[in-house]
Amino acid sequence: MKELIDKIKLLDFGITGDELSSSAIIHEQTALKSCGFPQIPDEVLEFLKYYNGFLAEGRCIFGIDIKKHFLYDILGENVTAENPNPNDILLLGTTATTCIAWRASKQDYLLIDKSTFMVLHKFKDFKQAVKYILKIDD
Amino acid sequence: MRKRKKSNNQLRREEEAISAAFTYKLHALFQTRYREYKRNNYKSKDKGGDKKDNHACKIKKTSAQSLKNIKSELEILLAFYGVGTPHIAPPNQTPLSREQICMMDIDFEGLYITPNQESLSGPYRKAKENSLKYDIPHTASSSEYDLNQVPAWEEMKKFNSFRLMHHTICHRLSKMNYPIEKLNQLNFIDLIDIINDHNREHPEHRMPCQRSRFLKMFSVCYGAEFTEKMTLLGKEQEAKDFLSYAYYINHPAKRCPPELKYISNLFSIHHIKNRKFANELDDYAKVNDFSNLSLCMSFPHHKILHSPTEIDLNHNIVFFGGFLREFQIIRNPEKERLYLQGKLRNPSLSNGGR
Repeated sequence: MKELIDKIKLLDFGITGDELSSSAIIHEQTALKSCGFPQIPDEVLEFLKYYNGFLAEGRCIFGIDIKKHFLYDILGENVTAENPNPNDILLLGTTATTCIAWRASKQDYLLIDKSTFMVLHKFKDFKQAVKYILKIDD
Repeated sequence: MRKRKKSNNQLRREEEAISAAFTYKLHALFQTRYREYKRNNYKSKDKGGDKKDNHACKIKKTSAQSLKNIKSELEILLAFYGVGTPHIAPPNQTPLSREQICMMDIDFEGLYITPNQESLSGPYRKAKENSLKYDIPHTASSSEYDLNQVPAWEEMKKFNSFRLMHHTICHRLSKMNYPIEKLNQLNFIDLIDIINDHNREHPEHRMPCQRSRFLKMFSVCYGAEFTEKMTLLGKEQEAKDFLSYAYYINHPAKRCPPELKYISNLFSIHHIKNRKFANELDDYAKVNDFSNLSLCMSFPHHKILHSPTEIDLNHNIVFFGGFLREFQIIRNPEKERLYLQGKLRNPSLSNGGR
């Protein structure tokens, strides 16, 4: 994770959310659970502690923003998306045409077409998914 | 009685009020769907025999109706302002394949993914491994490689970005000494892998994407009008920064100053015919053509076009800067045609003196 964070630092651009607090994590995880969505994986939470969401060139990694749930917040984005499988798939980020997502049943990260929700690619791990969103060569 | 022309301030205030109303509706939509999800989750748990959750018991059963109401309110508002109407899909459309969707995505966004190496074809993997291990002399020049023999190329060549990589692909195949007689065994992933390797080795000459090309065209064809509309919105600096940003992303060798990067978050590129419905076009590959793209303000404008229902944006709008006509730019197909023919150059498209 440190290597990825260092690479993102070099980008010198992008907007990130407020610093993440443990109460915000608990609030978000509880809300996700009550809606039937999968929980945010530990690897993602670790990233969110460095960058609580990241928005660059219209590409975005969702964060935890309990004040404005409907704007690039994990819960807000998942609630408003037309996800056909909300009990298994948790959306974690987006580009203009695709989403990155966590598939709880198989414990893997996917690249999904935003319009059809078709799986386009399986990432090795969350770091590779972040690199895709931020256009960092793998 | 003649209507008095509204002042710029009045227009701006009106636009802000409409945007606020839409933002409010989006928030209401979130709240309603959130309640709906909770209710459904509670119901399914209840069916499974789980213990009832106290919090879930309090949820009202009116959320489905509220959702319907918000949807129709948003649709009425959008139709009223002439922005667009809800999409109605014609019956019996053949769904697009996974490869076709991948092609549309890469053509629009560029290639930022390493293909799974297990999906490479046998002959390609072997040629690639050999070229990395040994220094093999070329037996065929790049001009001898005819990509029309590659089945996957038939689809790929429909897209601008891939067509521009034709020579690079042939050159790299020749460099790795790929057997010409096995061209028909190359698959889509092999070709993507070749482009990916090229991008990594030559980041300054990456495969171009339609997103960047559209931004460049927009700056050239509509830059002046864009500045005018943005000034009317009270965002003159943002307009300047956006045009500079468009210059930099089309010149990857020059580094975009970090203070400009914020600007891309203010705008989004919208597919007028949503990619989900690309097969409704006479050729699905036209989905990323300039004529199907519009520049929008990201929030709430772009968001509203996708939620709660897919809205077919008015085809004539090339810049959706506001719900009022005064903040929109109408497409000029003739200008776009001249630009594509290379007959339109705008001297004002520059890095803004940076």
